[in-house]
Amino acid sequence: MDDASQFRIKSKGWRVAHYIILLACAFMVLVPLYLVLNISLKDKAEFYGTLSWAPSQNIVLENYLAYFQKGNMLGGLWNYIVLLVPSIIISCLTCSMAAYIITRFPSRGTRLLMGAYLVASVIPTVTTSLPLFQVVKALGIYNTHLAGILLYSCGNVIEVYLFVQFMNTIPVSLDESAIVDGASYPYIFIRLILPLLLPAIGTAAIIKAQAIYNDFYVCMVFMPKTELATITRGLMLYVNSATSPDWNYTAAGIISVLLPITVVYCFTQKYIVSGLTSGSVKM
Amino acid sequence: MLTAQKKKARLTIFFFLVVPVVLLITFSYYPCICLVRYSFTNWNGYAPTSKFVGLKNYINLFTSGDFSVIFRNMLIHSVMILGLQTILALYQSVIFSSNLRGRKIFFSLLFLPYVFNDVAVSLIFGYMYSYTTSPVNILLNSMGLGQYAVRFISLSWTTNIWISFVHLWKYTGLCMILFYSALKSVPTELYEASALDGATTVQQLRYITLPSTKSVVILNLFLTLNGAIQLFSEPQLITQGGPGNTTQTLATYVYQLAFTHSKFGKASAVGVLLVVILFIVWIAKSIVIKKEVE
Repeated sequence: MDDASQFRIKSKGWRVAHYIILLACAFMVLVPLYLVLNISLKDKAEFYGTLSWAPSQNIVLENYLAYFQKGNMLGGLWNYIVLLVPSIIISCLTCSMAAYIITRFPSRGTRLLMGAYLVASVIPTVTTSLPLFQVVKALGIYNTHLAGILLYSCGNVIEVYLFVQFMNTIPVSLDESAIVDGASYPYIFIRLILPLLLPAIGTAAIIKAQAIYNDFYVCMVFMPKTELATITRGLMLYVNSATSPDWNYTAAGIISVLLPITVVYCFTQKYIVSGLTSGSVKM
Repeated sequence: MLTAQKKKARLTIFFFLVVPVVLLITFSYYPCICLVRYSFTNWNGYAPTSKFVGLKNYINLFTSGDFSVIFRNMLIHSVMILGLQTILALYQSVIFSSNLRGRKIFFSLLFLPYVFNDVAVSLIFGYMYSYTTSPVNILLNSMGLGQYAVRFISLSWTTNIWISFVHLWKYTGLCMILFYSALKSVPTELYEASALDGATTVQQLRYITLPSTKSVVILNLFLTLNGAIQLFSEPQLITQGGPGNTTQTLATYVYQLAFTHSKFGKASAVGVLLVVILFIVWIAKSIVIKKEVE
């Protein structure tokens, strides 16, 4: 977010009015979070004995400890990383390769490919998951990490657009002079284009990491085994388990799952915003 | 020499596109064809054989009572989300591109719910919406207004409004940043020059902002509508489409028919319908935007 302002709010009355509306919006965002955080710090007796609004009197961490043991946070983190790293590498590589061809060898075929990515983005995951369920079973990767990796690796139109836009800013004369020097196309792509593309790759990776962290659907349908659960799926299993936990435990689980992504958000907000806007605006 | 270069280029194009195209076909286009094929059968999802039943799945779908309820829910979600989310996001994006102090903090805060996951958000709102534990009702009770306590989840159509509110809570931030970046792309000089000429903020919005951001606003409207039509996580995780079918959407119906009731054939028919609706919206978007550009 930069500092230049486009509209000037001059009158004091308007300014106060805007603050009131914005505070109301912020209130709507924060109240549910405050309640959950507050409940997560209460023990069972206090949870049942006091109103949910009332601030926790004796802050206890027992709910969090219980969640770390039974919610399998560490196992979830491991499964998340196992899914994340290959997915990011494969999807960034394939999407940037496609973007390289789209920007450097434009033809009717590449326009068709771009359209194919666009059309694919219209089809919702829930509907494709029915046939994909069979594909995954036929490939023999049902209930393994590979199922998640393959499904997450499939690039989407936002990523391709991100790379195409960024690649358009790299002058073609750079490629041409390398060709004159006798460099091959793969060499140009790996040694010249990829290093220049790093900022875009970083943005794409952050968005992907966020999406995989938050996804529960692929995990639930294609790898439902408890041992393969990621952090988010772990929360779901914890709540739906046979001895369904009291709400103060669930609240601790919710906060444990939301805290890491909130911390990451604080540092990467700029990239998330720029990635989402540059990818979506041209659709 | 030239042909050798051309040959090299062809080879490069081929090797660079093999993997992306194979991934795209296997995970997007092949499933789509299968979906259409399943929709004409009575397949249950695991039997090795299935029977061709023609249009039976589609006829059953359109004649059953479920369909009208699902369609009603889709309309409620579309109106709620399209209307409220767009108004809120537009307002916020204009304020964030003004000179209001503290706007950065509000910006970060209001975008935050977007990075939260559906599971946690749905659990939070499941709690907020439960009749006995809802903080809203507790507050009403403690003020002696117990008779006004809200039944958020009930057999009434209003349940869908509360479900769309969860979506709104999470996605207004996304909509806002898209508008915001469109507003930012308008050169500041235009505003400064018009301000010197004595233009008011409303006039600036009308004669500078609106014409130059119109296509992005339209695009965003369609993206939002798209999200509303394929609403899945919130109803699935909060109410499982219930009670009864009160909050069923097309997407939750597909999921439940297939994975809870093992009716892959019927689920595929619903899936095809959902894809067709989304494509109609998508084509409408392309036509409107094309007209806008001309």
